[in-house]
Amino acid sequence: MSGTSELPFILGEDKLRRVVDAALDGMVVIDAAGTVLLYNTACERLFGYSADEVLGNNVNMLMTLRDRRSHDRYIRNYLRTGRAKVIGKGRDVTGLRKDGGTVPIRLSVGELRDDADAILFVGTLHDLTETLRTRMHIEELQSELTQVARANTVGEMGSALAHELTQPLSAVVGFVEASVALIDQGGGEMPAKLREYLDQAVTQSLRAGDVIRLLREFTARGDTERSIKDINVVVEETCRLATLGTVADGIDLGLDLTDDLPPVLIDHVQIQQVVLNLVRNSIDALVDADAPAVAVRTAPGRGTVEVIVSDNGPGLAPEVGERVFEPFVSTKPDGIGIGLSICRTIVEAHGGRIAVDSSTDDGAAFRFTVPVFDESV
Amino acid sequence: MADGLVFLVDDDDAVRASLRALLETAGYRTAQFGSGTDFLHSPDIGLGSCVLLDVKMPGPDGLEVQRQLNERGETLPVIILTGHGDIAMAVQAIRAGAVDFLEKPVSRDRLLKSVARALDIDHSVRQDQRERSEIGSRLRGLSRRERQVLERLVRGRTNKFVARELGISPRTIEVYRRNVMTKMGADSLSHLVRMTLLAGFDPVGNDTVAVRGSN
Repeated sequence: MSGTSELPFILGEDKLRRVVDAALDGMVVIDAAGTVLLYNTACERLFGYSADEVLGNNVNMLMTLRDRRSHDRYIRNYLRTGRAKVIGKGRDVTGLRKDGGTVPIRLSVGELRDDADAILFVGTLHDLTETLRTRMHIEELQSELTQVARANTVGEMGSALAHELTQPLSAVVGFVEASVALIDQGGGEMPAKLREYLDQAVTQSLRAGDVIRLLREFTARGDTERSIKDINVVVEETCRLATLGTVADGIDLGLDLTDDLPPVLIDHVQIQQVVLNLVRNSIDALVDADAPAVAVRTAPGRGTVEVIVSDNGPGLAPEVGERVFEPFVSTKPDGIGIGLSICRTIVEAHGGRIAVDSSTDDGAAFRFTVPVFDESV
Repeated sequence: MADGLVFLVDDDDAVRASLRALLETAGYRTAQFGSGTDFLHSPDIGLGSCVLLDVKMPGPDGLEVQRQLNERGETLPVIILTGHGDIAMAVQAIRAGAVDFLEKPVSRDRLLKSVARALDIDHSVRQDQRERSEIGSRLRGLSRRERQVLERLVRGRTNKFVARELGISPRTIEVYRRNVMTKMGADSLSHLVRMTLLAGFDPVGNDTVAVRGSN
């Protein structure tokens, strides 16, 4: 403490002033009325105002309209109640520049007393532009990676999907050609049969369209967007996608959805991706199983809902365990180990957790949670 | 209009119904099965003219059904249907005796040609079978002496040679020979040879048409 008070003595007032101006972060001192008493060089760079234009004015000129209105109130509240919202800790705010632009700032506020024992506030302002740009870049990369992983999953399902499209297409060709044959032949029973064949052709065309729609929605490169969803609907739709073409492989998929689960706030394509990944992993693990079965359950948790995907395959080797969620760890001969690490990224970005229970006796069970949507937040 | 009973085995209801529509508008009768197991259990397999087998089905797949038909000695012609043309699979099916290998979606023209060919094959197989059993019953109608004469004749022996071998006169052999030709319904020696070949007699080998006579 004594060191601080002796600083002006050691450095001299002009030297202290030079230290403040040499700081890379902005520094502002205001009084209880919000009047700016100190405004360093870094602040001039940050806001585009020179010190002359700011000193003596209310600090709220550096704020966006929203903060400007409430700032005086914040100070009054603090002085009256002593309860701090920003003081002593940091907060991310948006600064208003002279040119009308905005700048993202990490603001930390401390307090001190002047010689007359009047309260002063000292704010340190760190420019977040670069940090945010980096974060956005990372988010972009992440979103691209998850998109690529989705496309990859669909690619891996290639032959199953081809089968799922070929069947209705093949039926359409059959019904339409049979209709043509009927028309060529004429005859009394024609209209009724013709109608039946054409109806069937339409139904089968729609069936093919449905498969394509599911796929297109899943692989769309949309912006990530969260909305309030019923987890059961998301899980059910994903299971339809995940099991395309596998009915023929004799895999029994059981859905056990708990009714009346609270809604969740999720990016549903991303959560679909997690479910799809887990279900496809289970299916892949069942190649040599006797009575292959996958079970997908939903259940309520503590402030969360849980989705559990289990299978009766060989399970995971104990040495793999939770490491399956690390990038480039794969138990598949040709796996690259990206799927589950992306699942973890997605689940954690939603504020949930993902884990695996595995024993070599009863297969593997992957479970993940997503927080329940809370209207008060 | 074509005639014949075509079996359709596919787990997809719509695909089955569309194949049925295609074949029925061409005048075929169809019987449908949703799985290989159902089909293999059908008592009517012997009544069919050919079977369209989907490759990808739960339970025994198309190739497995084909294998079991072969194992049971069924002569029913098999046409394999597949969603995704896989050369190895096609080769396997054709080696196992499939008449054709069709990739879905298949055009009506291609399907009907393939079915017509399968029906031709079925027809000639059945005709051979009928002929074989007819020849068999004629052979069983010959006396022991007549069979001995027939065996030697179809091996290209002369009357004189046969007479010496069997220790009877060439004139008597001539009588037996006429009886054999009549009972077998043969117009000529070459006709007789053809019939015995169809019945499974190997003229170069040592086997006999029926029971070898003692000298």
